[in-house]
Amino acid sequence: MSMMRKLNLQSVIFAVLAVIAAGAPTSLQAQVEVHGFAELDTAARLQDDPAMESDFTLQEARAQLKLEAFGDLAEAHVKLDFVRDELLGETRIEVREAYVTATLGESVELRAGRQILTWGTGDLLFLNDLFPKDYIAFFVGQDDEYLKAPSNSVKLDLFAGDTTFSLVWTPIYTSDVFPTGEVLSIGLPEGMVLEAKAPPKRLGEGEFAGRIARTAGSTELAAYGYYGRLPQPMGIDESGMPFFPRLWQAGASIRRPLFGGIFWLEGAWGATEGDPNETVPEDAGHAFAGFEREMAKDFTVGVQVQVDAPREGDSRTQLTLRLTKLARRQTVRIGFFGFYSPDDKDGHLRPSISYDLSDSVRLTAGANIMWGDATTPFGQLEKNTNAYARVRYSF
Amino acid sequence: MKPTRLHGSQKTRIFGLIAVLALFALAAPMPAMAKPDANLTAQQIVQRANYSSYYSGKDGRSKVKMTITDSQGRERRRELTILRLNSVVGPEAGKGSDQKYLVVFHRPADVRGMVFLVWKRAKGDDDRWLYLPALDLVKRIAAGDERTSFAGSDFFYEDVSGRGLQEDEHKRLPDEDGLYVIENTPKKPGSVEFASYKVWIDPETFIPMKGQYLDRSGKVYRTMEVQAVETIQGNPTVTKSKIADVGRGTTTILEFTGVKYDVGLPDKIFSERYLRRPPRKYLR
Repeated sequence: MSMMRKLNLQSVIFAVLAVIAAGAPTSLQAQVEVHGFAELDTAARLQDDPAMESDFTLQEARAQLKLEAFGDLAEAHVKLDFVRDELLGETRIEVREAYVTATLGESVELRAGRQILTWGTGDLLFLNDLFPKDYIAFFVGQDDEYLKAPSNSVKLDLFAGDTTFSLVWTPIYTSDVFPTGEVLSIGLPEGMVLEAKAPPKRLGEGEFAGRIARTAGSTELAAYGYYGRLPQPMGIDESGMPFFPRLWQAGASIRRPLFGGIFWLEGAWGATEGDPNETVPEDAGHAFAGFEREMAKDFTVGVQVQVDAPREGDSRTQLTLRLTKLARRQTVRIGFFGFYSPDDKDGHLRPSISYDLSDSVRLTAGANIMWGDATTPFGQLEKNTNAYARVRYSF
Repeated sequence: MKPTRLHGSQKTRIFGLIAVLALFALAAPMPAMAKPDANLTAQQIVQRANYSSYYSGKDGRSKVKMTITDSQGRERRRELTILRLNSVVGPEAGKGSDQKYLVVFHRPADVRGMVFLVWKRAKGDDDRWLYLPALDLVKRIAAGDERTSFAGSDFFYEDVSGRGLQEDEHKRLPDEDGLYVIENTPKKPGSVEFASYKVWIDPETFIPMKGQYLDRSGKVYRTMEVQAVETIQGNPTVTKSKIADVGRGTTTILEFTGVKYDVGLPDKIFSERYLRRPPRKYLR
């Protein structure tokens, strides 16, 4: 299991520092707020998977505690998840957020600590957002919010009129959380898990991500840059071991209203680096376009098409469809999200339904259905197809 | 005998009582002091009503408490703060002019921290953004149907930020109980769920005190009623109103507290920066 799902010392230090830093300048007027939720999650495989011992992909009790302290010059946010994981038979604390935000003058903001970062225009598609994702959480049946994983980063924002300059430095490279064969099978024989060579944990081996965003009337434009590593171990070194190759990437996006809906377009070019005795993915261009519109009262439809085209070799096209229907005074939400690639003939469907029993209790049920050839991105996860149920109490 | 002196605590109590009485005086629905003006046209009346409902002051802030009651008596509550900035200041704004809104949700717990930014345009579609804190995601929302429930309540988006005056034909009917009566008929009947609606407008404050929505068979299926009006910084302000969906048997009560005009809201807070991190200075 990846280090990110477990409590690590670094995160605890961040959490403690965040609390102290928030308390220090604001001890006179600090306003502290506590919120969170408690939930039970269970997800069962809908077919037998000979490679896996358990018939479940998720069985846990989770409580999230959110602490916020606000002062005049700085604020602190800490979000801790206390998890009893029946599948792994362990109890752990996950530090999801622990950061301090400081306002440095009129137009500069600094945020430091463990944080969840998002930018870009896609709907569950990410090109220029290379911040860590948790693709185990995404496939096992956890809430959508767990797709975004935290990183220990420093973010600097400079606001100049309609233009915002952002720079994110992640001193120690943080990869995605991805299926390795431990919780989700990926077609390896029973007992085998995917191992990858961890990148060095040195300063200077970290990641830099930048964005210039501008709002011009109703149109949002952005340019992005990244220097770090591919988020998943897609390189093979001389000993046959997967590793995370170096990556340079640049991209741009536009988002604006069109035909009564919202239209977005995003593209990126990524260049990988590797030694002559290493195999790394080809440099590649990526792009997606999307459109979303309310087609009837409380019924929204969204479509996207993405193309990934390596400099040489076959490109992959992927389509997505999102349907959202709200009913009974928006207390019932019926949702569907589907990925499908006509090239590889693989896909992933995410139907779900939720009901707000009261202001604080929500019941959710849904499924993750994956199919395709064992060599395709979704096909290798086919045996993990599951249905899940969740009850969440928020406070 | 010593002259009786008021103790500090007694003084506080008396001042407290005066303050409470003063509040009651403010909160009591104002009787229609002014007589309706026979010379005002329907257009003039709806313009002034639109101004006093949605465009008072240079800007405004209010905290909104929503109580939604379903047909079985179950209650759901919402709490949010609305910051509003006008592009045009003064009665002219009532003709319909651009505005910016920042709406910060406090309750229920699962939407806490969600922020909604709207650039409302008199001509053309509104721009809307929604910030989801758990994902740190700024989502762009299509302008959509204005007659969709706002936050699961009986209020529509349009009830919160106003319905374009040019969308209806307005006709003045004979006054009732000293109130102007305006009948509004949609120019595009297919685009809305009502066949027409009638509003009763106070001739002094120009606040629509009552409204009735009629369906195609001429039956009242939705009502609006103002339950409290206060004068705040010289602006008559609705502080409590109720919408009932007669067909479904649901009601929503909106209570506005902490209303303040001319807060001095800068234009820049209606942007992605403050959508991600709402300006607490103006929310308190």
